[in-house]
Amino acid sequence: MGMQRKLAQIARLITALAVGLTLLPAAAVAYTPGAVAGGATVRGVVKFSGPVPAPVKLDIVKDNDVCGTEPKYDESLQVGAGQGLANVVVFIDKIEKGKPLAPGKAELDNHKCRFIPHLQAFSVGTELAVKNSDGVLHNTHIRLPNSDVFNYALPEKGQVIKKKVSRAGLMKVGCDAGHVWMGAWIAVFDHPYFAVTDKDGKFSLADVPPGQYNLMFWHEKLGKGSQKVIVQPGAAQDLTQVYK
Amino acid sequence: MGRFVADEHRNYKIIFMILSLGVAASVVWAFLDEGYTRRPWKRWQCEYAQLRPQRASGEAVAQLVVPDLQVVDRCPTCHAGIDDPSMVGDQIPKVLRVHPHRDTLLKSHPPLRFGCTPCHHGQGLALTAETAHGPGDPHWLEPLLPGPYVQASCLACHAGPEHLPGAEILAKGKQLFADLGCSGCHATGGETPARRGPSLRHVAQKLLPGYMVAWVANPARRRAHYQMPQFWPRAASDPAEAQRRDGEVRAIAAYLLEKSEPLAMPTAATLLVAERADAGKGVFDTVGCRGCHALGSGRDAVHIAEPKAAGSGDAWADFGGSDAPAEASPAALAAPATIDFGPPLGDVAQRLQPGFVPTWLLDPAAYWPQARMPTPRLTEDEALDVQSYLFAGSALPAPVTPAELAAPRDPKLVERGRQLIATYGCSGCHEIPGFADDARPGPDLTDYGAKDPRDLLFATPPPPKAQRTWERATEAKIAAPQALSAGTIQLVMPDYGLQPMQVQALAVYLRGLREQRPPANFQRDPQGGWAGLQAESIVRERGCAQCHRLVGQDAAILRYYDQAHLAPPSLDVAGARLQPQWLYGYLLEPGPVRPWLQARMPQFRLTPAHAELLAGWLAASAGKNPGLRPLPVRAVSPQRAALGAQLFERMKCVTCHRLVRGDGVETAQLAPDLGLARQRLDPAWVRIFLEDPGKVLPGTKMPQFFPDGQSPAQDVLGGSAALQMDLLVEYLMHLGLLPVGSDPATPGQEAP
Repeated sequence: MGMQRKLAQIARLITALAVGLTLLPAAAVAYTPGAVAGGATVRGVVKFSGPVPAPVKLDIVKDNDVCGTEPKYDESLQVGAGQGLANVVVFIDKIEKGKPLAPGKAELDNHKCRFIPHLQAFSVGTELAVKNSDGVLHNTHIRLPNSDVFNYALPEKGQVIKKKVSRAGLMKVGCDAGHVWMGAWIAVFDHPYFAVTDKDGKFSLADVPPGQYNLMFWHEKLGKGSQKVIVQPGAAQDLTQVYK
Repeated sequence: MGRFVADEHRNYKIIFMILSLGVAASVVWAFLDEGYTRRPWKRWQCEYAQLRPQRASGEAVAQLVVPDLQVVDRCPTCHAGIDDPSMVGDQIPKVLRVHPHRDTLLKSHPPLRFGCTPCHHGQGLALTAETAHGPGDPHWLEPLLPGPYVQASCLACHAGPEHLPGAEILAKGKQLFADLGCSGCHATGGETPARRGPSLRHVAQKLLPGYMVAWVANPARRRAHYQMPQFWPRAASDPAEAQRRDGEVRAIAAYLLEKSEPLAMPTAATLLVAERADAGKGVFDTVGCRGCHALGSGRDAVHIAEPKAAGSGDAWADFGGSDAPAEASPAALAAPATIDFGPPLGDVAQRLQPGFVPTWLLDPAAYWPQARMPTPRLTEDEALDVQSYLFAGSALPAPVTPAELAAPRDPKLVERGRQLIATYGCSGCHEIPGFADDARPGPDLTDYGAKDPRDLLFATPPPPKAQRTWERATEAKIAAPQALSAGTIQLVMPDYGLQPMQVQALAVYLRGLREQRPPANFQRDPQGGWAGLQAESIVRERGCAQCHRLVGQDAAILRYYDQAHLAPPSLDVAGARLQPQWLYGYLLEPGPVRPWLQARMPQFRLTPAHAELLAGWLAASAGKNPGLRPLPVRAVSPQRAALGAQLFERMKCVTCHRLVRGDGVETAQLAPDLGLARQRLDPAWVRIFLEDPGKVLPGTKMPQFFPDGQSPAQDVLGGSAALQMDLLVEYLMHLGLLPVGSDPATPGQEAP
């Protein structure tokens, strides 16, 4: 068995090495913060085209006394004034330098069996306060596609657990305590050039250093989109991105 | 006269001088011969003395005498540097170099106790290379074992060489010998293992006759570990041989069908329902069939499992980027790429009688008591659904009617079939009506390793004398058994189509099969003991690793699940997590434990002895006592029990963990019934698990209640997370012992 174990270990090491090597080019683009000369604002609006489907009513099968009896709707597609699409993550892809990161504090509340907010973005180093405002057991299970970030149980009403988020990536949040309808997203970035569109689809990225970039858009239902952006010193830009 | 005498004296003088010169020459010759021709070892000793003057012991025959093994070995006479670690490098003559495994093998086998020839063979007393090593000389019965064949010697004392460092080829050969079912025909001194091939007792109701004939004539490789060999390997290139084969196969099939015993089975016509195919796919994809069976039919590409898309098809993967691979590698990377533990099932419609499938699925043992296929614990409906799925879209073969089964066959053909089955030894691997269970059709190999090469068969024309070695004869026989047929000698051993490395490994193992063994005080138990080795063999035979992560290797079936916790649980933690006696009972009578799992632990129909071996092995692998003893019950005060109940309620454990067994609630959202904990779980493991569940079981849904050692209940036990976890574990381990009325967790949580 010892030999087998050793072989398995070696095999895993080789796999890890191979994976590491293939990921190396992507990881090599590290972000360097510094002073920004001639920074400009990139702002715009993300729109949804076509008729807006009626929101899907969620089936609340458990803990109605706490979760509330008022109807709850699927929050994935929210279209506001002028077909503006809310909750789109907008970010500059593989930006290498610019203004310093501004990690702060963020909150994720379990309130009436919903995660509030449904989607948020912040930078690495932000302290996330996970809160339970309900009197039932919630657990906040935050995952990256292939691994857990953390999974906290919140048995007490008003309980708050604070944790600094140190990994970047798109995280999916769920509650395993029988509340299958509960879901949220957290986008964590290792640079400061990201935004989430407001209820009318508007976003703004300030102090973008002059240069040519790939502006990325991601929506949980509609997937991703991108636009080439050329930032001139001090010249604000207005963009429109349409999801069809 | 005087002159004559003087002359005469002169003649004598000349003769005397010639003779003297002759004597002097022969003295010189004898001296040289003694020093250089007959005692070549002196040359090596001189060289060694020059290399290591302080170590050399002067010119002498060095010998190792080991009375225990009846060995006198003079090998160190030439190999003077064999135990001298400085004798390394290309500049040192090969003869004088240190033993290549001095720090391992030589250390564990000190030459003073073991000598040389017990491992290397050869003539220990001889003092020239030719006579001592003796390769190629048929008069030396024990030549030096060449290359990897030296591993064969390990078997003399290490009857279980599976994990011996340095004996890898031997171990592989032993495994191959078992996998290929060699023991079905050849005795090797041990007990008779189960037959390798399926039972043919009711074969008429299992196989389509056309398929059976085609398969026997030309079997294909369909699974990882064992395969039906070719009995007519030369038929592919020789039309006359092909004709002979076809006639023989017909006779064999006639016998098998004639003697096939009836088995009660539902008839095919009433069973196949196209609408059930979808439900059947659902069952097939989830209960665990895919852990062992691919759906293709051919040999290679079809065995590749079709992996599920990562991220369950949502936009998650679209975002790009990746989480750190070192923490949890994606399942698809680590899981084996091929699934061929069981036969592929894509072509069952071409092979099987439709009615056989549900009969087999419901209870493989009803068809064949020694079947390796576990009972998948399907309902009758599910078995029929799977049958419909596997046959979906195929033109249905005509089922065998009872009239057809009873069709009169030519008794002469049937009798010829019986003779052929006896000749080819089919019953070595298959249960066949009319053939005794314990018959071993092939020769006994118990002492094959000691066989004189002169008794072995070589190809015609034979190779030169120097090449008629044991190794050559054996490798040729295994590689292409029937190629040695000539004239009246017709060999019937089938062709397994082995790779050269496999042939060599098998030959190494066979070289180690000898009746004469060193005395008992030299015999060694395998690492981990015989029980461990036997358990490993059961795990391998039963394919546990097809569904369960084992020894750090992800299971093949993991490819079919998005998340680790949806796959069957890892066996690497089972030993630490479970109480052996619970595992023992579970192995004998598996049932649902994890409500969210769609995969079902099948019933392996293990004997109690085997279940005990497995449970003990898993416990031992976690460093625990493998004994099947229930945990001692410690008394707990009513006050502490009440406090535990209070904390248990406060943590709301029963939101997911059902406390009472059999209350009818079973949904994918629930967690294991904690009412089982007292019998099932190891409290020490639960305590570690509670601290950080995701660290112990990556991917688990169980959340962390005490992150960073902080408890939300600051008013219990001074707010100490450690003391609260202790209390919870203690409470859990006493749950079943508390009066029902004191159970605080049941009200309000019960489903009707």
